[in-house]
Amino acid sequence: MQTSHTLTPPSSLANMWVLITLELSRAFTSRQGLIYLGAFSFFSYLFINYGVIPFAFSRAEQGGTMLGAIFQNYYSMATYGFPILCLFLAANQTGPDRERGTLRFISLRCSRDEIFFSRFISQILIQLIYIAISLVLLVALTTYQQGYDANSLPSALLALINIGTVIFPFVALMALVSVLVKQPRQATFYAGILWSLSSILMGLIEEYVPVLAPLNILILGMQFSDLNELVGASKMSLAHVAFIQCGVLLLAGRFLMGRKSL
Amino acid sequence: MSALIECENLCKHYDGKQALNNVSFQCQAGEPIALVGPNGAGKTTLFSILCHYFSQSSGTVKLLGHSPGDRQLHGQVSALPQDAQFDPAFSIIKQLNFLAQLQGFNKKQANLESLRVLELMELTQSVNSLPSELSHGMRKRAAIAQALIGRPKLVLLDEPTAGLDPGNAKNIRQQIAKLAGETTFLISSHNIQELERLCDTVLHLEHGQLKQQINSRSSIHEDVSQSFITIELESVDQALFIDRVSKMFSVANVLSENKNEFVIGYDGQSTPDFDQHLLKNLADNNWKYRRLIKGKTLEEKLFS
Repeated sequence: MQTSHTLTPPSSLANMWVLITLELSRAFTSRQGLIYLGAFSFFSYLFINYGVIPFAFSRAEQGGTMLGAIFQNYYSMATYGFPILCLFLAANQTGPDRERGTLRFISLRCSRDEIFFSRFISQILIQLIYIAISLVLLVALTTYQQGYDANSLPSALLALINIGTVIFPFVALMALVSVLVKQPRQATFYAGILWSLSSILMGLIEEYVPVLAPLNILILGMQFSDLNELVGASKMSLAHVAFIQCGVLLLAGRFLMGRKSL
Repeated sequence: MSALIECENLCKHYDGKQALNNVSFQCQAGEPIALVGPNGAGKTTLFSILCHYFSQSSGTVKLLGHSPGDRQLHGQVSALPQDAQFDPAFSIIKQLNFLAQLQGFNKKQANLESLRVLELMELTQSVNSLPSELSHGMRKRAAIAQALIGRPKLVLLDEPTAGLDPGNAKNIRQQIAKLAGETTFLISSHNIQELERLCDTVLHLEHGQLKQQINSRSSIHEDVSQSFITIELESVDQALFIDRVSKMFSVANVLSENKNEFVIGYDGQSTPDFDQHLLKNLADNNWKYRRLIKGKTLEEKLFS
C-alpha cells in the first residue's frame, strides 16, 4: 500500500511535467480545445490560400523567389497575428482556476512557482503547435500550387523559431495578467489596454524625456517593424528583445503569484 | 516530536477587518479536531492560512514542524476547501489521477488510488462523469475524495457534510471515524452533534479569537465539585420532572433549555453512582429516556 508518506516526493520538474500534460490535454483533447483548433486551422487555410500566396505574386515580381515572397507575406501576417491570438488563447492560465477554487486543490500538492511556470510553458507549447500547424498548411498549399521547393521545409522551421520567439513576451504578459484577474475575457481586455497604454507612454517618453528612450525595449512589439525589414535567420538578431521582455514580465508575474490569495 | 498544528499569536486582518486576533493553540496527531464558531468567527480564515491560500498578517504557524506551503507538506496535508470546484473540462477520475500524480504516484498507481478514494465516497459509478454531470452532494464527496488521496497525515475539512443528504453525511462521518487512526482530521462545522460524535479536541473561535480549547469527551474542564448528567426524555411534564429530580440526594440543580432535555448538576464525589439512582427514579415514575450522557453535551459546554 503506497501513501504520500512512503512515496518519494516528486521533483519540481516532475510536477511541472504533470501540470503541462494536463494543459496540453485541455488544448488538444477537450471538446473546447478541439473546436479552437478546428477554427484556427480553417481560418489559417483561408488566410494562406486567399491572402498569403496570391499576394506573393506581386512581391515576387519585384525581385526574389516565389517561396521567399510567400514566407515574407507569412511573416507580415504572423508577426502581428500570433501575438494578438495569444491575447485570447493564452488568457486562461491561472485566473479561471483561481476563480472556481481548483487552484486550492493543486496548490496543496505543488508550489505556486511550479503552477505559474508550467502554465506559461504549456501556453508556449500550445502556441508553437498552432504556429506549426499554420506552417504545415503554408508548405502544403505552396507545394500543391507551386510545386515542391527544397527550401520550403528549412524556411518553415526558421519561421517557427522566429515567430515562436516573437510570442514569448505575449504569453508572459498573459501569465502576468491572468494572476491579477479571474476571467479570460478580463485578462484579454487588460492585456490589450496595457499593451496600448505602454506604447503611448513610450511615445511620450521618447518625445519629452529622450534620455529614457532605451526603456522602449520593454514595449511589446517594439521590434516588429524592424523584424519585417529583416530576412530569414537575420530576424533572430532581435530575439533578445523578446527574451528581455519575457523575463521582466515573468518575474513580475511570479512575484504577484506568490502573494496572491488563492 | 513537534505538534501537528502549532499556532502562536496568529493575526490576520484584511479590508480593515480583524479576521483573526492573537490565536494561539497546539494540536497533536490523533483523534479528529473540531473547529467551531459562528459565521464570521474566522474559521475559514484559519483554514486558509493553514493551507497557505494566503498568509497571516503576523504570528507563526507550523504544521508538522513546517510553515504552510513548505514543500515538505505537499501530499502530507490535504483539504476540502469551502466552495472549491473541480475543473469542468475533465472527468472526476482524470482530475483525481492528476492530483495523485502531483503527490508522486505513477500513472497506474494514481488510477488505483483515485478509485480507492472514490470508492470510500461511494462514487465508483461516477468516475468518468464530468463535474457538471454530478449533483451538488456528489461533487462535494468527490472533493472530499481528493483530500484523502495518499492517506495524508492531516486533512482539513471545511463543512464536509453541509448540503449532503443524511445518508451520505453519515457515510462521511463513518469514513472519518474509520480513517481517524492514520489521518488526523481538522473539521470545521456548524453541526455540533456531528462534531461531538467525531472529535476529541474542540477549538472554539469567536470574533477572530480562540475562546476555548476543550476536550469534548472529558470533564476535566468542569468544576470538580459538580458533575453533570444530560438526559433527553420522551414526552414528560417538565415541571414535575424538575421538581422530583431536584429532590434527589446530592442534586444541585436541574436545567432545561431544550424541550424534554435536562442537564442535572450533582455532587459526583458524594454520589458517584448517581446515574443508577436516576435510572431507578425514571423507572419508578414511568419516564422513558432517549439519550443519557454523562457530563454536558458539547453544545452545553461551549455555549452555556
